[in-house]
Amino acid sequence: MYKFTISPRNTEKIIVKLSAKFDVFDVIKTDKNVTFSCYNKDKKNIIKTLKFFGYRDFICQPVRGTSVLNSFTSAGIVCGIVFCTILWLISSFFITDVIILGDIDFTEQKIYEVLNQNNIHSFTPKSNIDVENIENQILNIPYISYVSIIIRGNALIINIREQLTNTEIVDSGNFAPLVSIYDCKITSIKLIQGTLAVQVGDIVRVGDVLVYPYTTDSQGNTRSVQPLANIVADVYITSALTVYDQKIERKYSGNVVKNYEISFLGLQLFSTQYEVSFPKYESETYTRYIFDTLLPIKITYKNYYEYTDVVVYSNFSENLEEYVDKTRQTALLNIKDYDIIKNESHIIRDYDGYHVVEYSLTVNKKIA
Amino acid sequence: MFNFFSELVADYGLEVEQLNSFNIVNMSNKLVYIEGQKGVVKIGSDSISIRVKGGVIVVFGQNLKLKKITATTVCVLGNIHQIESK
Repeated sequence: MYKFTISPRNTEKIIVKLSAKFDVFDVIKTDKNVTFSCYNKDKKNIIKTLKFFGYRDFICQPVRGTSVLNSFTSAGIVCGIVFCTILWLISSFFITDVIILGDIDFTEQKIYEVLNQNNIHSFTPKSNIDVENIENQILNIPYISYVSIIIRGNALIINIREQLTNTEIVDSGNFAPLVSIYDCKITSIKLIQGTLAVQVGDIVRVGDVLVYPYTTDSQGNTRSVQPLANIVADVYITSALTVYDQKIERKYSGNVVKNYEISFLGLQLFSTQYEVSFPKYESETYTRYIFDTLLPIKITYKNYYEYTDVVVYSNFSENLEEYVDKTRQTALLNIKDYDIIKNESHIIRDYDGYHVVEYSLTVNKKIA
Repeated sequence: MFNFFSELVADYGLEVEQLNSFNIVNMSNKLVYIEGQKGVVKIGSDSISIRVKGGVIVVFGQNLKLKKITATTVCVLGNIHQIESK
């Protein structure tokens, strides 16, 4: 509904004209103006009529609290609703999401491979999905014991259950035990097959056995199996930095004495014998042939570099923060980007003449 | 479709030709419905005059307004005191 406010001249005439073509509501005339309402559909034509009769200064505004049904007469809203309905109808023929449910450890990637082989991705038509065929293909993946696929709404839901290998059947050779490659504290264990050598809470060192490659069947026989387990642990990653209170550093003065010697088949032809007067020096000798192919004439260079030993004193306490940060950066080099640091700490050990900064990072990660 | 006025004409055996000018219904002096209007003569808060075939109907009252006006019908709302047919 729209409400018009017009000037009160020739009111009756214009109302008669309007009412002859349109439904007019709530006509109220006051000394200052005349107001009336109309349906949305008649708004444009009423405005034309008013202008035709010389009304230029009228006000047209929507009526508050208009019935919701009336708003549906707006072409834009109707088009929007129709458009959305069409979109909804079209989208209902496709899947937009693939959800894999279940406790999956090894097979997720292979499941996606099967889906890719069957061209299943977002906006795959539902009619193109052969659920039974995909179920059979997924069942052929090793370690999967159960699969159920349903299409619910726009989602393809795959429910998976991986099988625990029957250890009594597997006896196919000798396997190496699962060993720790970290110094760590075990936080959770999920044994798949084999015999556990550790428990939650155990602290293990690098090389300690986590899972033995055998199991004992119901008859008490030991069978060899490949050890498999999901073990998560707090891994301790450490680094250390030794800082000496004083140390001797070699400083080169830049003075060099260069001698050389030319020889042919071991016979010395020419040589320089400049005297080396440096109290301390380093020598460097290298030989090369003067001609590459013709004659085996060699030239041997002997260089003498002067240096002095300088005692460098370091103030450990003043630069402590720098040393700790340097040690931390070294420790951080040993963790992966996706590792979550649970805790970090550092210890400073003071000895006679030197100090050691040890930095420790605790990272919770899957170690097997 | 049921038409109240047509039913009256039929029930009382009246001639349609004589009764085809206009019809008025007054509901509790709050609403007057006029069928067969030919135009609005005057609009005011205390009186509204409606031209009909063969005359003018004037509705007197307070806070009157034309609740709805179509090509042939008028609905007047307000505190209606008197209806005159001239």
